Amino acid sequence: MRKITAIWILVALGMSSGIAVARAGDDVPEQQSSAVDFKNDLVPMFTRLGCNAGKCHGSAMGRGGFKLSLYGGSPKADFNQIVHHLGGRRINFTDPSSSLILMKPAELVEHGGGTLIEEDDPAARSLLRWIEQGAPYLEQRQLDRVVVTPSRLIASETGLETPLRVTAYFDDGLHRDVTHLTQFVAEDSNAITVDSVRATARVERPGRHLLIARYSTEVVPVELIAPMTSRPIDLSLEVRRNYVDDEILKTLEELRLPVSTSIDDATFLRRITLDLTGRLPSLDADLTVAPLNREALVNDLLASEAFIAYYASKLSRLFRIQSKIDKNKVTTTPKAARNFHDWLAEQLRKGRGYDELARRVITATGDSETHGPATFFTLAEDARLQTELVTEIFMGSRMKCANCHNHPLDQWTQDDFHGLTAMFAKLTRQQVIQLNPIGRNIHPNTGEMALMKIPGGNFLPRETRDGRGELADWLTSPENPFFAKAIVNRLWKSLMGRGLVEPVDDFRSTNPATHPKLLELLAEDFADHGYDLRHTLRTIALSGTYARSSNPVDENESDDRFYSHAFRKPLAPEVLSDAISDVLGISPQYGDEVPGTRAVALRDGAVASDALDILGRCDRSKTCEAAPPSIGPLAQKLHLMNGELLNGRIGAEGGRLKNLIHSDHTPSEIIDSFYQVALNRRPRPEELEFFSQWLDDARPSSEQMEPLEDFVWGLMTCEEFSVNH
Amino acid sequence: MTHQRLPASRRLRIVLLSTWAFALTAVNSWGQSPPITDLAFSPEGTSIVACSQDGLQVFSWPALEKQRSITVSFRNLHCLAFSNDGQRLALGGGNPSENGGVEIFSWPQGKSLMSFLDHEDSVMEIAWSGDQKIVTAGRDRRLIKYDLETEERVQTYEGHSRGINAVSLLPQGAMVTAGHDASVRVWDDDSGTLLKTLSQHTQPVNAIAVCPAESALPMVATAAKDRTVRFWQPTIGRLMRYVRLESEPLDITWLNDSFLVASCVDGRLRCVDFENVQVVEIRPAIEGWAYAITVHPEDGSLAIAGSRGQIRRITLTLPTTQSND
Amino acid sequence: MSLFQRCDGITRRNFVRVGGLSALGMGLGQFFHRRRLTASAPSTHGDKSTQARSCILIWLDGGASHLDLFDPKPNAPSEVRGPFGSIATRLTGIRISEHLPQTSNLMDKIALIRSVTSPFGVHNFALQYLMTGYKPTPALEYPSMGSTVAHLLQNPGVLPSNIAIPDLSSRDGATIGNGFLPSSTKHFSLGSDPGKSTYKVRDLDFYQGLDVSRLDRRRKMVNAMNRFGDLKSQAESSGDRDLEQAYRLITSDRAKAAFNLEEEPQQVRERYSLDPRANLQDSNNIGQQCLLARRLVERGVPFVTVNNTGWDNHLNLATYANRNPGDSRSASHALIPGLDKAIAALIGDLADRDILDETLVLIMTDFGRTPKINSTGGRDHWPNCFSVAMAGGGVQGGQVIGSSDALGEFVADRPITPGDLSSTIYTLLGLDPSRELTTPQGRPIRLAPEDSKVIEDLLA
Repeated sequence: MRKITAIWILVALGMSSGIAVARAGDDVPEQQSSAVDFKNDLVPMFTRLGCNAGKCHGSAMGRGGFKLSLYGGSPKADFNQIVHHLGGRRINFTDPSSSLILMKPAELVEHGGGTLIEEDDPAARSLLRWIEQGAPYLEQRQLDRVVVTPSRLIASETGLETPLRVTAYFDDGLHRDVTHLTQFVAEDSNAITVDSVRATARVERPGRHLLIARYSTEVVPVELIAPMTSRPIDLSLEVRRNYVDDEILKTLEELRLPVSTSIDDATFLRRITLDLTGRLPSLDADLTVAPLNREALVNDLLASEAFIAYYASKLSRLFRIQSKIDKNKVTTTPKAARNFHDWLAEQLRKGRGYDELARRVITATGDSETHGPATFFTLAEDARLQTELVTEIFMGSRMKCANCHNHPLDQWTQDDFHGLTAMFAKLTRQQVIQLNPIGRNIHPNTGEMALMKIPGGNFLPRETRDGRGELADWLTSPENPFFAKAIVNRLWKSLMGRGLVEPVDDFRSTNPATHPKLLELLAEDFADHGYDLRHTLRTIALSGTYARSSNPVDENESDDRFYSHAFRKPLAPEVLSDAISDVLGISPQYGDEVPGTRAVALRDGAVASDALDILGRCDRSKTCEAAPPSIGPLAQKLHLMNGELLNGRIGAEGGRLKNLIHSDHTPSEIIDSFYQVALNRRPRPEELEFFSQWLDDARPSSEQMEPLEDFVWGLMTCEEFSVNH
Repeated sequence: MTHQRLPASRRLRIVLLSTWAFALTAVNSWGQSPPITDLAFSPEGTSIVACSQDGLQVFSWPALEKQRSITVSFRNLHCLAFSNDGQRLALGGGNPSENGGVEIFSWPQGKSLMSFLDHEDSVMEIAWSGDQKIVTAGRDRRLIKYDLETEERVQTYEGHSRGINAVSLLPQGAMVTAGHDASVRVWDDDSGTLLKTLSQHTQPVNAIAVCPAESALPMVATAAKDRTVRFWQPTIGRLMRYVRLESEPLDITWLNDSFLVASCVDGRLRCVDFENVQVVEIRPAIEGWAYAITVHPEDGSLAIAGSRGQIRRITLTLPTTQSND
Repeated sequence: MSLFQRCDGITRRNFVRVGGLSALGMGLGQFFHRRRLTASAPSTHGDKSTQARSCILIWLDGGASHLDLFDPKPNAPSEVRGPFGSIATRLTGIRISEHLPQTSNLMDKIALIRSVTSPFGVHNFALQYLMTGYKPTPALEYPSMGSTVAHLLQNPGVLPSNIAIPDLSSRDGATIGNGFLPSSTKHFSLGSDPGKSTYKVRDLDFYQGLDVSRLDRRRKMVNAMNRFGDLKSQAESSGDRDLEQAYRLITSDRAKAAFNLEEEPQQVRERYSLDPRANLQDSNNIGQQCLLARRLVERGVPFVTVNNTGWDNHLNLATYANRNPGDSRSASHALIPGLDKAIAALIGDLADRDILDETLVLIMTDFGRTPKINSTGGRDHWPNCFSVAMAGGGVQGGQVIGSSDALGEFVADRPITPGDLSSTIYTLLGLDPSRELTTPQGRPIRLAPEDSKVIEDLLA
């Protein structure tokens, strides 16, 4: 008994001696004699040395029989591996310097990872000191946050070296300099050079670049900006209609990027009509009479049925609605797919807040053929994929990594992933969605039933039957940091051509927004206005930023993310297909749908359509966020030239061309008519002049069918038609 | 003590009594004690030997007073075993990631007789085959059999894909091994042929214990990081049953043919009733990881050891079986 | 006292390091100097230098098992060894899968790299890394090697410079394509499998009622509209180039004939098929895919990818040797035997036609498979160590570079990264890996990453 007491005194002494810490504001001295804190001193060191990276001992299987948690996500498990595992072989209490944990990284015994520490390294010293102290598990304080200075730097030119300093703030109010325990990784090593010994960074190229600082479990992005041009620019006279313009122009000034001009009313009309309704503008607006009331136009468009149809199709794509029948087992019936689409359209029609829409989807139960949102739980094959789908859609997060280990670049833990999956495991995944009391999700770490958990938050009681209500409460609360941002970012992208966070389903601290403040403001504004999709779309559409020309000016041509000019958006396959139909006056047949159905109105991603496949429709069984056209540019051109898509309709009876010819229009009139409907402008004299080499107004159009067909083909193929500019 | 089976109704009446005697191996110059990795009662039953990075230490039993230390030539020691005649003690270990081997001492003199250093990493377990042969199981994925008379290697067994943690010899010439590759393997002891690979464990296997019951088909228990103790008839490759514990078992030993005790990562011992695979008793034993457990050959009391050089004696009382004596 | 000193006074590290240093071979500068003497970059057709002017990449899509193809472990425990045996090859001491008997006879022409290592165990990143040579990053989309080669090597004909058989679509969101290079360098997917009876490259023939003169007029009209249009062109519009390419292809009967396998004699078609008795059109498609690849490189196409699917099998391994997973038709669909036949036919045929020296043949894949067989008898993803094979086009055959450890888990000797592979491939094609391309944002980007190294032993 006496001996036990002795041991405890020893441990207690170790605990109380404490590490060198400073009160707020003090400088922090390093104290060699202090007790080594396993979690706050050693684990970050393993991370900095790369020991716990995925390709070394942080891999799911470990390496060489030694496994650390990825980037030190589970310090206690790491402690057990190092101190207790295999009879404590890695620590030598009798001769601390011959401990394996020291000899391996020093490569005194064979080490696959090579030499990581030298004997005079602080790293080697603190490891040794820790073993001499009895290799205790000390976690004297909890990390509260990590601050890197500078967190954002605008360099005056490239090539300047900037010192980096990392301060860790702990829950007991103490803070210390942990620069030497921090790993710095440039996202693009050609753009930023890091000197990790001296802890400095140098921006090598103009633009905005990221450096990721990793201390302990925290990853902090550092933004380093070098101006794109040499002279400061003044944007104070640019139009500022709302906070969007303030934020965008501020960044452009920092980057010294000049802006393109503002677009005229005709261009605005085409751009906004395509963006909000997925259609070419109708011909009834005469812009020569009075200037366009852009606000009234935007409001009209937002109130239209066409808007509802178009945004229902966008939501439908976001939710990846697609009927599918797998292995003779119906998972999503065509009726259920259509039903969900219709339900989404109905929510838009009613002006339902996106928070409420999300809640109804997440908590849905019932027959997917009669209750639309229940279809949501038929779309993923199993509960884990359902978790991926839910987090991708509502949080813009890729939680997939956390299935097998804590997310290496984000806050998500395996408990988060499996806690969410536990909720969805409680559902029958058939046509009728019901609670399944015996459904459960086995946590791969424990081999036992995972408890339901709110991501990044609390576990739900073991007896919880359905946790989705609590999930919805958490998700749609105004404090939720993901929900509003994920959707406003998608809305931003649909109008601006690029997400503030890109890819739009990969929100994480290591992938920050190009304009973080703007994203905050948009999200707050969205929540303050009842999660009204139309409100945010209106705000963006009426900004000066939205109305910038897509034609670059000198020195902003290479900008692809700061909105100094508008980005040209290729028309989405469905929109392009509809636009072609509208111009040609004949629709293609989509699956078994009623003839004349618009592509945008298709309610099921699985409806067969060669035209849409050729134009690059997304396969909704996978994420559609960044899908490039699968068929490729050359194959697409070949099809336009020799395929059915255009050739089958251009000169067909009942189409626009044939009708104009039948009603005795001259070639010039026909050209004029097609220009207006397709490009929303009149042909210029030089254009008419050019076409006159093949087309003669003196002869009847009916005798010039072939060159007229060729003209229409050219129009359907030219860039001005097939992009929103 | 007989190996008579208890009637089911009385089985839960086992009482484990602990004597709170504790031993700590010598505190080294840093003020630290390394963990004890293995234990064995001396043949005469009056002392217990323990191995750690501090070498071999002998304590009196049951008082747990330290009697002497014996220096062994490796840095890390992982296992020890007395020969069947009690005349020799084999110590296994190594210098991690460099080499591993076994050193043979005379008992009770404690004189080093010979040593072999053929493994490329530490030896984790030793099994005696009679009094003249030993098999060593290494972290280097190999087993080596030595003839102590000729002082030669007589067999090498290769087949495990990860380090080996445990080896036991069965009465009829079969050998059972298990290790980090989560497999339990059955070998022909003589020819070195791998006969069976049993792969039901999902995590590394820490220990094997052969059931003392005499039967045509030998039975063993294995304990693994997947927190299960599994019961096998290894020669026919049959998994009989298993039990999942709340804490990872590091070492196991049979009390009789009905009960088995495990020392666990949480420092506790757990007693498992083989018949209905229930944990019938959980007792705290030491602080930290309990790497070794062994049962006294005569009085049935237990010794448990592990982190920071702790050893505890726990007296086991099985009232019903004793009344049968 | 020094922490790391032994009592004999020397540091222990010296023991570990002796023999660990690799000797440096012939300098790369020297190599390029030699190349430049024989070829003025970019290379021109008809140049009789030994340098490769075309590349056929046989891509085993999904991750082919190194242990069951090129790096068997006959002495490993059964759960690692797997169901297949191994056979000797023409190289002493080098064994490969028993299901690659014809390949084993060609090993004097093939170089195996058994120590390729990548950190990515998911298809999308793995694919991007292997096909571009660069680790994927959100900061920049890199072009595939095919696009880079198409961009830099001259193509004497009107066939596209970068062709994928039958297609190469993005997998799990992987962006495999032209990256920052013009879209005209993106691979042209046939969209039709030459191994299937329905094979036909679509949209090559004139639509009813159209002819050259009308297509020519259409081309002129759309070019004029783009020129007169409201959009200020940011650069030379690559849309025009795609249109030009399509026009030239459609109007060249000779070029289009390249896709027609019917032109090949029956015995050649049989040479490439696994089971001549089976219906040719239904036989394992990798053979006919390779035959088409040969026809294309013969006509000067610089880069052809044969994208053979079916290798991502997590279930019963034995099916690799008998049939294509999920295909119940006949035993002639065996994946590994089909590959064996295709490799042998392709390398043999190229050699017979005296164009093996100028055609670089690569066999690559996403990653290897887990050494330990899983509970369903298959293997899962394993990027830590896997194999790549190369032949022809200036490759010094008959050698094995690097090695894996006893269980095929990790690299035992000479780790080779996908960046090293790309560096080597570019070098073999006469392209200096340090040569820089420029992104539309004006950034110079090397062909291969800065830290990549050419595997000099591979260069003949």
